Parts: sequence; structure tokens; C-alpha cells
Amino acid sequence: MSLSSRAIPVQGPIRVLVIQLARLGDTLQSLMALRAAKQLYPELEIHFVARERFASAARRVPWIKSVVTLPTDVMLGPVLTGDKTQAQALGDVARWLAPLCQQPWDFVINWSYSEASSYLTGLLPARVKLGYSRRRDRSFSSTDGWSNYIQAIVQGNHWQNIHLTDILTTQILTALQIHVGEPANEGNSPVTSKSFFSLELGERDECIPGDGSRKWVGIQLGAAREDKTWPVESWVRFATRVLTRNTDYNVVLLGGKDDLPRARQFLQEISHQDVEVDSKRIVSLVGETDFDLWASVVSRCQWLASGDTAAIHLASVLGTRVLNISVGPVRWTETGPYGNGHYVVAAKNPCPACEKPTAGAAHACHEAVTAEAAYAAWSYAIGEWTHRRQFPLSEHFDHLELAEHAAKVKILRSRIRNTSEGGGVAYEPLLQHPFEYSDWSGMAMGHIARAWYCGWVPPIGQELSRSMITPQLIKQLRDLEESSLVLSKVCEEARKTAATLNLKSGALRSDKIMRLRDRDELRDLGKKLIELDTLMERVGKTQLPLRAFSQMSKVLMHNLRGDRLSELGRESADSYKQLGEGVAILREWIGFTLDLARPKAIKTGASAPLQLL
Amino acid sequence: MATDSTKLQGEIIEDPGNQEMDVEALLAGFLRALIEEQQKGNA
Repeated sequence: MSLSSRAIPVQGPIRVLVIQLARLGDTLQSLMALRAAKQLYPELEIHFVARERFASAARRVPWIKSVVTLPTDVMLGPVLTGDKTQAQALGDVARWLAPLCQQPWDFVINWSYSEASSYLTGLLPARVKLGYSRRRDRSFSSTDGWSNYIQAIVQGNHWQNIHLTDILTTQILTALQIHVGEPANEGNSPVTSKSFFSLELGERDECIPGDGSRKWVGIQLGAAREDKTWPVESWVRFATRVLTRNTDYNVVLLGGKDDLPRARQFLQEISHQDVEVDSKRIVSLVGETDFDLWASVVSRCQWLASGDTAAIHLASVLGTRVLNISVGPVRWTETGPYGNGHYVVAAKNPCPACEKPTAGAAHACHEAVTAEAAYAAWSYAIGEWTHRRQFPLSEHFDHLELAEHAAKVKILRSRIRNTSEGGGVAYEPLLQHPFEYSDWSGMAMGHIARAWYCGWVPPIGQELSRSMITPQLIKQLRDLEESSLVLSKVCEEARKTAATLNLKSGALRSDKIMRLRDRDELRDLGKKLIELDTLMERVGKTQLPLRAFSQMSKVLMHNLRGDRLSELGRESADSYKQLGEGVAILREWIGFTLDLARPKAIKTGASAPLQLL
Repeated sequence: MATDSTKLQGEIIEDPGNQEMDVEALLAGFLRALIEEQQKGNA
């Protein structure tokens, strides 16, 4: 990678302001990425902007210099009730912002990825900005490659398999390397830790009764949305199995005040099961925990079982193993538990209600992910030290006489890849399940992103095996192969056209005054580019994985930086080159996969006939 | 494929203390967008 000239002076602390106006889960993922950066660059002085409601986690991180809270309720309340107009409220916003503008920052990093935060980033003085921002003309700007990827691919809901924590970590470390230089430290320490937060508990430290030899499974009962909330009946059945078959484990219920009805239902229903319901084995802290107590409890649990909530990120940060009951419209490859040894239990088949939300529609994923399947996954996981995964999870289901519950789920185990494999978290399937087109596309897109933005990639198809490839996937890839060839040619033609635009406009003295013939030539080139963009979009509509490229094209073109026509031509040519290289990688993946699926002849003995696999 | 660092360096501002931005318009945009988020229940 070539280094541009450094924008940041090397002496003194490097002042970084991180904007995270999304929810607590996003804050926790951001903190993991920042921890990695701080380990490598101890001279970072990190300040954090968060909404008041979600600021507690950042406040408890000892290496965060300051936390600035956005008082959303106070600032917006009067406007929403009509007591103030927006114009009248501007003064409040300006007064809140003023201290952040007193001295330019070295870095402002906007990890909120929202429209509102883009304005805030635009306002703040900084030498380097990452994430969403605003230009001088107030138009939206996505300032760096990874932000383009998040805008086009992640927020565009295209299949991809890079975890958000990995994206944020790579983004900040790369920017630091470019602007500050190589890190002083090796940085091999894990970013997760039981002591990640400096908690203030006082007498509440003994909230989980029992001596130190008893183990705890935390159950986060609710989720922010109904469709991501596992039914209470399922939690009851799961907990019943945990408690009756594992006498050394206890259960602690967690949740906010909104989850109190669920907690009451849980305790009532479990009292009808054959389980001792006393304060020693089931404890409910629902509605009783602030952040400090919640984090303390989660850190002391051996396991945290939860749907798609901030709790899985809290547990990840604290190094507590997670059983993620992934129901609802969730992309766990992007937002699943982060680290080694976490388990994800999700429905095997796509859920129609998740794919096309309809009010009141029942979610097939809630039924598919049964308490029995969750228990089988968890009980297999807790025995890992003994069996070392020498026998497959499917056998464990058989042993428990729960084989029919394995049929509708996929169960995956998280693993941090080592550097030679590309790093980042991967989720390895522990049960045979059909390898979907979406899974394949996600792998290929993740590979393309690493090629675009990391400069190094592992071998094509490293995580593919022959057994994963189904006849349906082969047919889909053959169709994709044809369309991808068309797209490849479109990208190349667009690159050449943009390069010609760059050459011709570069030869002119002025963008505004030119001969008619030159103007007509440039206009024709521009029209051709528009036609090629339209063709790119049309090809994308025929094949979902290709839609990602037309989306990326729009984002790249929107974020061209040049002022002059020749600069815009050059940047456009670079953008089409990037897209073309991505399509080429996709075609390599297609070729590799089809080749892997091809029947291969083997000899079974000297005189035996050839057999086809 | 070698990665071009200009893609990854973010936006570099030569004179951060003098960004020449329409501060009032950006503040208004920030407030308006926050209100829209609140009304959609995103906050």
C-alpha cells in the first residue's frame, strides 16, 4: 500500500472524536474496534459522542478520555411538542456543539452511518474525517472506501459476510497507518476482557447469590423488536432443560422494565415444570439493572443466551460465551457475537415474514428455532473441553433424542481467523445444511471487499468445500456466469470511456470555454457513460449478486472529489476499474465453485474400473 | 491487487479551522434529521 503524506503531526497525543449516535449494540461494537486501535496506538486520545440513553458503556471505559452526550430528549422534546420551532431550537444545538469545535481534531470518525450524524461530522473541524459527512455545498459525502462499502453493500442489504466490528477495526487501523505511521506496539492482545469496563457497583456486587462454584447462564428475555424476540415459552423450555440436566448451572433473567411482564410469565410457567424455583437456582434481575450491574452480571456468567440484542455485544466485549438465538430479520454474519466459541442458532430455511415483513404475520423462524435445538447446541458447547468436537453435533442431537429438532435449524460456531487466513470473525456450520446462494454470494462479496480495501486476500474459495455445493447452486452460478461476463464488459467499456473523457478534457484549457466540436465529443462521452450505467443497473436486476455492483457504482460516482472535468474523468475511470476488478473476482469464485463441483474420476485399485465421485 | 491508500485515507482537510461551511444550514440539517429519526422511532 502506498502511503500518502501524513496529515497528522507525530508529536503529542492524537485527538480522536468518535461519533456513535446509533444504539447501544453499535456503541459496544465501536468500543471493540477502538480497543484494537488504542492497543496499537497508545498515543490516541479518544473522545466519544453518544446519545444520553446509550452513553453508559462508553463512560465506563477507562481509556476513553471523555464522553459527550447528545441530550436528545432535552434538545428535541420542545420541538416535538410544538413548544419551540426548529429555528428556535437551533441555538440549543449550537450551544451543545460549541465546545466540540473549539480546537480542531486530528480525526473525526463517524460510525453512526446516519443522515443526522453526517451533518454533525460536516460541522466539526478535523484534519481527517472518516464515515459519513457533508461537503461545502452541504451535499452528502461518504469519505472513505469502507464507508462507501457500508453505504452501498451493508445498508443496501446485499449479501456480504464481514462483521461490522471487523469493518470498523480495519477502517480505523488503516487510516491510522496512513496518517500516523506504523504502530509502535505489536497489538496481539485480545480486545475482549472481563475487566473491559470500570464498573461502579458498591454493595450490589453480590447480586447473584450462591458460592463461586456455581455457574450461571444469563438469559436476556426481550429484544428491541417483537420479531427478534424469542417466545417466553421457548425460554422456559430451554431453561428447564438447562436446570434439570445440569445441576451445577443456575439461570439469571435479564432485561429492562419493558420485559417485566415476560419475566413474570417465565417464572409462572417454569414453576409448573419439574424445576426447583428458588432464589438459589433462578434469579430475576429484570428491570433492576443499570448498565454497571448488567455488565457485572454478564461478565460473571459462563454463558449469555439472547436474541439479537445489545446483550450479545456486551457479552462479546466481556469475553462471556454467547448462545445467540437468532430469530427475526437478522444478519448475524454482520452483527453476531464476536470472538471464539460463540454459538448461533438460526432457522435453516428463509423465513417469509422476515423477507417481506407483513404486520401480524407469524415468523416461521420462531417455530423452527426450538428450545430443544438451542439446548442441544448449548449442551454440546459446554462439553467442548471433554469431547473437543471429535464427534459431530448431529450425533449429539441423536444422543439427546432430539434429532428432529436439528432438521429445521443451522447452528454455527464463531472463530477468529488467524492472520494468514485473513483475520476477522467467521461462523462455521456445525450441522449439514444447504449452502444457499446468499451464503455463497456473501463469501464472494466479503472476498471482493477485502481485495478492494485490504490489498491482501486469502485464496479463492478457502472456506468452500465440495459437500456444500448443491445442484441448485450450480444452476444459479451458471446463470450468474453469463450475466457477470456482460457486467465485466460493461465495466471495462465504462472505464475506457471515462479514461477518454479524462484525456480529452485534460487537453482543454478550460472546462467552461471550448470549441463546439470538443463540447460535442465530451457530451457524447458523458451520454455513453450514462447508458453504460443504465445497462449496469439492468444487468443487476437480472441477478441479485450483481445488483451490488450497480449500487456501488452509484455510491462511487456520487463521491467523486474532483473539481475539474479531467479529474472527474480520472476518478470515474478508477472507480470503474475497481468495479471491474470486483466482477473479475466474482467470476473467479464462480469458476472455482463450478470446478469444485465437477465430477472427478478416481482409481480405486490397479484392476478396478474408474469410479466417478 | 494493490490497494490505493487514497481510497482509505478519508477526507483530508488542509485548514480545519477554516472549513468555509454554512454553519447555520448544517445545524438546521442536523436538527431536522434528528427529528425525523425520532419520529420514525430510530433513536
